[in-house]
Amino acid sequence: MVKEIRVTLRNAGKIDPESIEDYIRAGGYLALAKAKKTEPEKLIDEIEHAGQLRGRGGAGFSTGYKWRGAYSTACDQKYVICNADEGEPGTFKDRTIIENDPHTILEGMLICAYAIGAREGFIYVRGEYGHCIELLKKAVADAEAKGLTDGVKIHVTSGAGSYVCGEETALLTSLEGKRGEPRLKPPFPTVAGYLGKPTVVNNVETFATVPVIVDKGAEWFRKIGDPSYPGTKVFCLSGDVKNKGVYELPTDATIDDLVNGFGGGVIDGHQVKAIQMGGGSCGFITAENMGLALNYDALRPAGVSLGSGAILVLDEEHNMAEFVRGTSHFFAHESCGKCAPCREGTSRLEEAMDAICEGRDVEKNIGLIQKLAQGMRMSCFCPLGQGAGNPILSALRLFPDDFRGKAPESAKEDA
Amino acid sequence: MPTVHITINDKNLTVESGLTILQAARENGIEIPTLCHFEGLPDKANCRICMVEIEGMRAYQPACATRVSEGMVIHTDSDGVRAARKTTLELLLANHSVDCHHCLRIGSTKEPDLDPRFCEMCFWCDCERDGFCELQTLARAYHVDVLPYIQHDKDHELDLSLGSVVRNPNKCIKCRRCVEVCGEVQTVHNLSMANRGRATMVVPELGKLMADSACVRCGRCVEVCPTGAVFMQEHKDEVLYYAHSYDHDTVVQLSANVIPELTALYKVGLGEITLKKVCAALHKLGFQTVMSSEHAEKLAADEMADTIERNVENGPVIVSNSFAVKNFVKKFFPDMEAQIYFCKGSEKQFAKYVKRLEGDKPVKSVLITNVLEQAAEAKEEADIDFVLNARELYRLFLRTGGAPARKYEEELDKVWEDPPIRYEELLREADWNFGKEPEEVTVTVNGKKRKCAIAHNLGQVRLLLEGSYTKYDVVRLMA
Repeated sequence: MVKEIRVTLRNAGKIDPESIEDYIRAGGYLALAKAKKTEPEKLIDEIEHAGQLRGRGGAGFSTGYKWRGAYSTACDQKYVICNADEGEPGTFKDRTIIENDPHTILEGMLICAYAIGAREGFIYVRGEYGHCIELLKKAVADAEAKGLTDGVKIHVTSGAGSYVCGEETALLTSLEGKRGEPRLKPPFPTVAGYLGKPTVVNNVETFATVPVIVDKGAEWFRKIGDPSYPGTKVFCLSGDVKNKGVYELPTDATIDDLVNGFGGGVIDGHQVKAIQMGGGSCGFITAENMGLALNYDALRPAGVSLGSGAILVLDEEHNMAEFVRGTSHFFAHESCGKCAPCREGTSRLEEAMDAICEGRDVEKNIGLIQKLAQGMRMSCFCPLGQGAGNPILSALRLFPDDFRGKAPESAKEDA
Repeated sequence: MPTVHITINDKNLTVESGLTILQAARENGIEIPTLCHFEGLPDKANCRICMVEIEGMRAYQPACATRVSEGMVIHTDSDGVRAARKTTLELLLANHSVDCHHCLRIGSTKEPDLDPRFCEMCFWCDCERDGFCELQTLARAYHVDVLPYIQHDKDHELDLSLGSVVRNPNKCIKCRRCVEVCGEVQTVHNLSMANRGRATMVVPELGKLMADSACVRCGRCVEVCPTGAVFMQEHKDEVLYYAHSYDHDTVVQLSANVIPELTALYKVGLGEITLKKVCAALHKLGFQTVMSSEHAEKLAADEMADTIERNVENGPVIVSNSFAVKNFVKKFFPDMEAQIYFCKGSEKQFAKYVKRLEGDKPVKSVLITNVLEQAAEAKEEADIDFVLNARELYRLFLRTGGAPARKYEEELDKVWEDPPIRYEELLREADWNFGKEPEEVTVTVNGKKRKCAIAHNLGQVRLLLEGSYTKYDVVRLMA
């Protein structure tokens, strides 16, 4: 049985999140002091090569590489931004981290600010997380009062609740006060981000991991988990399992360890029908793939991704068509309206799913979805549109009967 | 100049580095369809029509916004790319009131050799952009015959409040060209995006009607709109009625600025359509007098020249005969209104002349110009009965069969002696552009060299009025 290793959540439940003294007593802000004694170049190297820290937000992009990009872009003003706009359905890890240990995020950001040479930073918190905003504001004020920020100004801001603002360029446009819409890459944020200045945007979990790597050393960190994705990952287990919640596991743990071990298996003696890996825009796996390890490389053959770390378990009582119908409503509601295929396509996916679930023109609509999802995957501007068809296609591939089961008798005969 | 080697559709090319794929392809005669792209405006990559396949990349990339790099292998017309474009077009058309699709002959592509210009012949559809709509052209090129989606009511109301610029949100494809022009170039920031997802739409300031909004009637949104979502109100039927009527005289002032667009619309070579041919076609339709706008323009320029000469010794003279500039100043620089000399535009000079003509029969005046702010001014202030732009003139000719390219030339009517031209460099008919900086010229006024500035768009007007006008002796503002 795999053991839970708490890196990001090391202080969860042990300290008072509102007390900076508690955090300092637990060894907090030592990593910042240690980092400041290191050359920025060496520090970034530690994160990038020695630690091989990959972003915990969903894309799995090398954190050190981002920092190096911003570090090596000459500019008078640079920014460090923490992406706490946790909007992916089924994800609640950032909230747990903020609610338990806001200072570790702040410390991670201050280390990054030192490494890249930023004097200002933002924490962009999801609008619905009112409680987190208050906690973070207090944490920033306390750290400032203690002189720990060393002149680096951190602002806590929030959006108006748009899902797409979790995408880093959309987050930047929103932060600039414009419509929350993604913008063209390149230039990447590390070259021209907030207000056109070099900017590092990292996830809450990524920043929370940084102080540990600096403190305990990259070698220690890299020994944990799978070598391709070292360290731990915070997973949000939800759905039809006994023990729903947040678990931090090394990345060589398997889905089975999480669902049946920590999660205690499916409720009421039911069977696992499908597990949605990584959040609302991701695909499904069936019970036979539960032996896969929880990292990007291991999951790739099954056609799924780790995403934000959301693991949603569905038992056999669910109809998958009904389930992805809900997902399609979500994307139609959250499309920002910038690019044509997503603006029009997400609502057409929704219409087609409604029709299938009501048993109207099932085969025609299945064909339409396949064509539309393929077009959207290739043409949409940002991952929202590109991935909107993923859960539907995945469910269609794994559970085709669920889509046709709803059809009236006459339609079945036609098919 | 540094170059890179790329391959487009199996063709090895050496192109300048830093170009976009679209520029590189067009320079080498490879056509990539576009929809939201507009030469001179920043690329937004919204419409996803110019998507191309780049080997090694997971998704297709927009050609308008992707820069070439060494060794790039690009396919602009593969099956996958064509299918993706068609899917996008189907989605756009399904949320567009496709008036032109009703026509079985033209709307479908079953008869590909049929000239789309014939569609005016049957009077079935009445989209203002029929025949030269960019979406329609693409839909035909990609054989979008059947729309596989549920058709919802397109029930946005038309905004006819201005009487000149009309908005039809049902035809908007949200390409945002108008938003860019209104905001980035003209700095009016009236048109903007509202709502999200399917409900996304372009709205004037706070969703007001155009007449109540900050619109200054420069008409640039009409020029850039690819479909019939923003257009100048048409008067084809009334104009033809008076042209044919024996109880009315009709006087036309024809401006040379419609010729380039007419040439483009008729798809003929440069020089094949001349003012004199258009004049002959207009006479044929029944318009009695066709005069060139040059006369009125010269009168207008003469008034500005007088104003400059009178006032140039007392500090910077700011002159303008533009209607949109006048509205712009009223809205954004009200305290400067008194400092600016607003002269009569050519349409007002024309209206003054028409008034003198009133004799036995009532006179109807028709202004034909492609300067859309003149159209708005004529409508709102100058008592001109009808204004036609090049597009409407083209549609008028198609409807009546009066193609100017086939006509003999006829001399335009001469109505008065023109005043001598002064300060041509400064007061010439100049084009609108997307530039950020005003043009600088030096002109000798009252025996002294004067530093002058010409604003070619409202963004430049704003720049000048915010303070830099003091650097010049004479400033001319255009919208």
